Amino acid sequence: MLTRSCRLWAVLFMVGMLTLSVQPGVTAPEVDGFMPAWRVGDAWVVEARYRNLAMGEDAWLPPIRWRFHVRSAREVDGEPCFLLHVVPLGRPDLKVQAVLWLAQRDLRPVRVIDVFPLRGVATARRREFDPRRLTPLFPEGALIPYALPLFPFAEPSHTTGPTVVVGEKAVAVASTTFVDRVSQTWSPTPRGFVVELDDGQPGGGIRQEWWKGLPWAVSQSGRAMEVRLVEPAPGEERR
Amino acid sequence: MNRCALSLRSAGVRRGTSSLVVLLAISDVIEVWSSRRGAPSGGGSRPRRAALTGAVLVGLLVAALVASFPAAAEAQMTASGTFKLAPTGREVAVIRPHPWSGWYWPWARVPLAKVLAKYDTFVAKRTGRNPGAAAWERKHHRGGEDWSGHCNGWAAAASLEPEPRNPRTVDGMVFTVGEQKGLLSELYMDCYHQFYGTRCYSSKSDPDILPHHFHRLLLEYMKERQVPIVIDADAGSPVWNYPAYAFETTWTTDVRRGKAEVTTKLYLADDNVVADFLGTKGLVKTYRYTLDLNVAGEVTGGAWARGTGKNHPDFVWVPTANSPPAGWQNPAVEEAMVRAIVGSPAPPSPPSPPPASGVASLSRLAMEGEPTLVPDQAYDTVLQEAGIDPAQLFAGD
Repeated sequence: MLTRSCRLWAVLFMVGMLTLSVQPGVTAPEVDGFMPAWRVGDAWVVEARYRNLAMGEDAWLPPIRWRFHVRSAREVDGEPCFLLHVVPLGRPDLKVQAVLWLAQRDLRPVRVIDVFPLRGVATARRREFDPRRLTPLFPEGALIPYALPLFPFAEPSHTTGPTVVVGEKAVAVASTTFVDRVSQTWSPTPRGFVVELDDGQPGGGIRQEWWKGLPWAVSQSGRAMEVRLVEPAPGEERR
Repeated sequence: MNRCALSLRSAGVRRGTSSLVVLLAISDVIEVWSSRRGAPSGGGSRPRRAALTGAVLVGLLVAALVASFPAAAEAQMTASGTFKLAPTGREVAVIRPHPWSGWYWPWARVPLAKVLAKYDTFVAKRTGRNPGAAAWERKHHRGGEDWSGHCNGWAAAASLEPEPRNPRTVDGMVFTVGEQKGLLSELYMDCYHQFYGTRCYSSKSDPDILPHHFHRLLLEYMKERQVPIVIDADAGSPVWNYPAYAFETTWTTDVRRGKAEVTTKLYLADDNVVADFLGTKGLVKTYRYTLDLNVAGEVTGGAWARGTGKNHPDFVWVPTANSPPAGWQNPAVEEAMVRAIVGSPAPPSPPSPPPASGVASLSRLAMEGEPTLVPDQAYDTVLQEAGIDPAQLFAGD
């Protein structure tokens, strides 16, 4: 027979194992704030629905599922990075892909390659990011919903309102540099955080909901598209 | 390209070649266009005067060099290492092959139904069933405004598909150039795209695209990516979509006011042509606007020039890929049949599965999410087509 103390420890152990089993390969460091934790080999799928805006706010195009895969880890200028490869699930013929170099310490963007079709031929475009100027990652005209906020999110310590970070994003295109005001606002929720990103572009801002224990935002909404994480499915959908 | 030390180095290399590219591009624009239609004051010592004279001569020489190579003067490096917009400058881009001209197949009197009746016959001969494309068209793509038609489908097809240039005989049926273009225009009525701005539905609502956004799209898509943009040229409620194949933009900077006065000529493929038209009939729109600059000469905003009224685009969009029918496209028109008629290759079918390898979790996800299992190799083939070696790219440290 187990003593009362042993039974208590056994229950705690089982609860702990159960918690780990529903969060495969993902942990959220609580000490410095929230950010998803990835390992090489992790993969997930999101589904994006696109508004057919030329036809009106209520017209939609068929969804595309995008597979995100942490394919490897490499250093860029001494910065250890994850290489995240994003492809349209089941639709290689679209010839739209992205490879994101994201710093392992906080997932800040370091380098992005967007692949897109140019008169039927896959073409690559590369972007580098200023290591001295932190900015959330915006797709910049890509079809892929890879917008990524700055991590980690910290719980507000002195106020109950949302935390706001405002900065600038400078993008050099041909001979001209465009500066956009960038803002990131986040608030804690019972399951994680809600974050709003805006870079002043005509597409408008986006809102993402992140849950602790999941590798990507469970949902994203904005004017141009709506996105949801479908695999691994959030808890309610699994039930 | 985002600003950083690394990107400045690579931009420097590119800028060394940009003057030649710009000169070539200018000649292209000209081709496109033509196919369509003192002494220092006294008071100092001699050596000082000589030095002053020398400085003036050097200054004149530099000014002459800058004037003769406007592209090289487009950007200057400031002491802080950032770009600064030049006092005057010019940017040119020409996309080749140009998006092709084609009729917009108005909804009034439904002329496309005649083409689709032929399409129905073609499909019936192949499959034994009449898809009913002509009937659908007569019921759904009719009426509307007097400007209503297939201009969005044509603009997307003209941007993404090669131009049908010859009549084609398929299964004993002859399809003219105009009929092939009409079928492609229907096929692209729904397509994936990036959308910038807000469509105007009435005279007083919905802001038009802002000029600094418009200017950036020109540079980002047409100059850097060689991708056509499509504009709605009417800032009011009618929609007139045109794909752009070239632009020439010039500016003069007023540092004191923090403004750049910009004039942009946008060269558009016209749809005011007969159905069998071959090539690109040009339509030129000239837009004037100011760009707001910060102290570093970076663009922070803009406004359409006063007095130009509604002479600017309503919105801009960039077709990305065809999509299945989603409400606006005739659902009886099948991509495979249209491609058989126009002779363009169908989207590549996935290659045969490679030997078992790769990431276990990825295979599991592929099986759960994909309608048909596509091996990872098919995605890597796309990277290779884009000039990227996946094996090298994803090799771990």
